[in-house]
Amino acid sequence: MANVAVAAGAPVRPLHYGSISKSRRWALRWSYFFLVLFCIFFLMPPIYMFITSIKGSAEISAATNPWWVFHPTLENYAELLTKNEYLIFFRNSALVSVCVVIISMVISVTAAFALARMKFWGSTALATGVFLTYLVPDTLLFIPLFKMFAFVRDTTGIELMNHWWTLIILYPTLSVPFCTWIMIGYFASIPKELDEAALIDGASWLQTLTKIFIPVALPGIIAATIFAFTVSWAQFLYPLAFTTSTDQLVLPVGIVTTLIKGDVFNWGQIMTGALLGAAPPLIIYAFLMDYYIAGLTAGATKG
Amino acid sequence: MAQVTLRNVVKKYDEVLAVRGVDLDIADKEFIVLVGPSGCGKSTTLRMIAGLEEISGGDIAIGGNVVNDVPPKDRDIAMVFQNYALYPHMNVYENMSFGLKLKKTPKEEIDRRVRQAAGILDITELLDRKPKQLSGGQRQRVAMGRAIVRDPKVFLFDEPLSNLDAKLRVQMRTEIKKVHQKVRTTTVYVTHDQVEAMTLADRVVVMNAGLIEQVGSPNDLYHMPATKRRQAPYG
Repeated sequence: MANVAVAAGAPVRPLHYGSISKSRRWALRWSYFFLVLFCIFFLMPPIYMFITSIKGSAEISAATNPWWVFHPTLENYAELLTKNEYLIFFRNSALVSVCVVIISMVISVTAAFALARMKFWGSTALATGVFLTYLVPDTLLFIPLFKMFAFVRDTTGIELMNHWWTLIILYPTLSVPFCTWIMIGYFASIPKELDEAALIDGASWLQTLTKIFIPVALPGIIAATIFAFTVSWAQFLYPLAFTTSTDQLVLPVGIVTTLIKGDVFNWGQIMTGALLGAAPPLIIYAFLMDYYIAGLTAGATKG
Repeated sequence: MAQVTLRNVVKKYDEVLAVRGVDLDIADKEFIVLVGPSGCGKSTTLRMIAGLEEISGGDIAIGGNVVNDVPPKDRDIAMVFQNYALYPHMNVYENMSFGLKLKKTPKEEIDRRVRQAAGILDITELLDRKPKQLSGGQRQRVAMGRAIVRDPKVFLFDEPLSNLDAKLRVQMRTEIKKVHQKVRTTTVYVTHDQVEAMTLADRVVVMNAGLIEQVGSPNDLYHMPATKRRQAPYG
């Protein structure tokens, strides 16, 4: 700051002028300290994954410095990307995630609109109920789900086990409650007069939703979309429990079950697969980051 | 163009009576101001005329037709809100034409009406702007423009100037009066500002605790206040 003032030809002020700048400097020092700390903490695993992914298996098992690559190679990438299974996992994951995002958003936006705006009997209790279902851990749900699948098979003859599309039915149970909750908060921050104005202008409920609420709440919708995508892309327990055949697996489970044979860990390919699998959410985050941050904070104050 | 009639209109929230039997005849082209302290039921009365609140008892008629069970969009009214309630993602033109578009009015007709209303309000050069790029006064003009383009039977104003600073309020007051003289639409205007009531109204309706205390021209009210409390503001 002092340098800028000098450069602009302004009167030179002493570097330490007052306690505010001093305490600010200390606050900055501490924040940089913790920022660096967290950067190291959070970036270490992906960097380690990357380093391992460009090593040959001989180098991985050799007793050398694990943080350095002596013979970089792309053989893990080449092998994995030509492997039919891995591409199938990727396709399954992508199909499941896209369908889950669409289903979750249609359900949660319409549900949130109804719960936030159409004051009907029990709407408040229902809204709380939606949030409570989010708090039920999925580890508790998958045994009842087995029972339900068995019931469906016995009554209709439809086999839900071991199909990747079953996950499209399952994941919304995880994503819809939270997305609905985000959207309720977002819709609630839209002034009541806006829908009254739309009502007087002659808009039906559906038109109010599509022409006013969805465009106004777009940052919130994007935040919810990212959430739904991340949940379905990274979900591990359900696919592990409900799919077994190699051609029905999704990425997270596929990598673990096919690249670990007994006690032999194919580390190079595991790391490569995980790194490539982490790419799609990363790319989506990068594109929607600005909206996402706006979406997380905008609900707090009146929009 | 229409007269508005309220017959023993009652509004009950659970067990609380917000409006306790209001009788009022508003003539065609008349500018009526509802004035009173906060919580006196003036806004509720306005919202019942708009159809945003269901009425608990009595009858409301617009243009001779009882509209108790008619939804707001079919009452042929337009409302201006205190916080403007402009659609933030649409520009001024889209804001003003939204209602007409929903009614499937032909494009040329929409364009003609929007430009005419923009001309009356002197906002023609703002038509491409988004609400957040406008000042408070300009936003309020757009909100009025949105009401004018629909060419409704009745204008309803809900404390439209209370978000503006004092100087702008005076200016917009004259503006509203001018607009009313140009379009001659029956107008119901709610405010808690005595000066606004006295300067704008053809007739002032003084409300208190859910009842009408006095109805009269600003002049009558000034010279013959019905109660002691009414005398207070005017000395």
